Amino acid sequence: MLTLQTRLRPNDGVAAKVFEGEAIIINLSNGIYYSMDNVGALIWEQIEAGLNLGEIVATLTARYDVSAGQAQADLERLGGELVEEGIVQPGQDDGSSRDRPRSVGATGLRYDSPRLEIYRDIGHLLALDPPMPGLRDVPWNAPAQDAPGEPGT
Amino acid sequence: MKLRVLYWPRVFWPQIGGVERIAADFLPAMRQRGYEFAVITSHSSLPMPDEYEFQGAPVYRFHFWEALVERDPSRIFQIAERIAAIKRDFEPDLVHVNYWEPSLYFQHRTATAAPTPLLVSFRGPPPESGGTAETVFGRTMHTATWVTAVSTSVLQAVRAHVPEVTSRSSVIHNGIDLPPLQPTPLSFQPPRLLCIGRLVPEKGFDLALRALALLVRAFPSLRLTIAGDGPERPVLETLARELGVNAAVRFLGWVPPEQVPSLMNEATLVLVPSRWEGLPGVAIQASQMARPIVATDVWGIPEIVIDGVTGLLTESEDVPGLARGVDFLLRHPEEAAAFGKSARRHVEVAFNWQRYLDAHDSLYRTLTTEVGCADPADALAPQ
Repeated sequence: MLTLQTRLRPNDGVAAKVFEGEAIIINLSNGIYYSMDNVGALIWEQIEAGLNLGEIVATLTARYDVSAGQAQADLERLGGELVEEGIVQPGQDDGSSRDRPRSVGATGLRYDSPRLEIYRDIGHLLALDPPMPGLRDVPWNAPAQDAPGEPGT
Repeated sequence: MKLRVLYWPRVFWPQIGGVERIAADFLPAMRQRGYEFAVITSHSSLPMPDEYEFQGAPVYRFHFWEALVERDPSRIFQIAERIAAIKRDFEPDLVHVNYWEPSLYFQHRTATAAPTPLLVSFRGPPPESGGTAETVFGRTMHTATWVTAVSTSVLQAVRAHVPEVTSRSSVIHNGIDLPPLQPTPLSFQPPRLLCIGRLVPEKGFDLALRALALLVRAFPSLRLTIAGDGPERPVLETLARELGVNAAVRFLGWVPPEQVPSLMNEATLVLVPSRWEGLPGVAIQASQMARPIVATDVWGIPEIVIDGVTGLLTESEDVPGLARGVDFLLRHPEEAAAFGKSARRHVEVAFNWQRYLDAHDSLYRTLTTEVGCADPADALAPQ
């Protein structure tokens, strides 16, 4: 059970990056892709920074127009999903040193409940749709629309 | 004002295959009807620039497959950002994706960069991975404004897999322009069989070789030409030797599309022994050249080859059945010629190029002008 003292730690074998308000997370062990926008991306940054859930709730309420109760409920739900997907594992806050949380910056922003977008079939699609092997090299004479090359579908 | 369509095929000219051939003709023809296109597609092993122009349409190629296989979030993000920028710049009125494949992840990820109607066209059956909301395929289908399939059998498979699209889906059969070359009478001296396509397992050319092995005793002068290239070529050459028919088989290699009609004219009949096909263009082209066809009864093939009218069908993997079909037609030249003539008449109507363009023209306009209505299906009748 997740509490405000829980710290979620990204599992080994998870690749993630936050870019311009979006988190892209990939479970390398099974090839499942995830993404989270805006609030979710900020939460992921805070998880990676080693904050416990209580500290993340404080960050959310400082930045967004959201009550602590709503932020906590959303965070516990999202955290549960991340644990269930094998992306993070929960642990108790041991008070060890951690990265400083990001500055809150803007405040009172519009709050949308964070959502974990899941793409379970990419590995399956990749297996079904390998690139065609090169049968031969056809010199490319841009913008040659007259020189067909490698067989396609 | 021209309608702008962002066209998203799996691969694109100068990669060559049935789908690519049609796309290479489709875009210029639709441009003449007032559409503006941009193309987003995959890189392949051909050395190609990331951006170039094809008959007035910018083409953007990406290493989708490699980025997803590498599971590198930075590279994935860079591709998504570039596509989002292209969409914002091009401001499409419609996005038309032409295959289910992994790059649709990027289409879905960038959907908000240019919210437009989404047309999804199936060239073959859907993937077996579920159509649930937690899949790229499921999300694509859920957000599709309209879905088309290249054959009735493919459409039925799509609807069975994703029932929610039933009320917003229809068939648009491929069309191929009738070649200027006229069909020649069938020649039976010597009898010549022809297979054309990529040399890959799903085309079933190994079955054609095995059928040939059953036929050569009764027809010693029978010859089989296999036109095309692909990874199975060494396997097929070895099989021909093992079956003792290598002297009767000619592996022609890749043939330019414009030479296909004359190659068809050299054939007595055409074999389409596929294990899997959306709607084989080679069967349409063989019919255009009034060649009778012996084919397997899989997916879209029976929509082109009408059993007992334009050719003969057999079950998938049925080598004796293929051989019996060939045997019958070689022993009944009048029926074979009649099948060929019927085939030409059939495809002139059902797989007509202008009809193909008209259908897309109508669909494009409806999707782009009627999108304001709550349910596009109100303006489009599913088939």
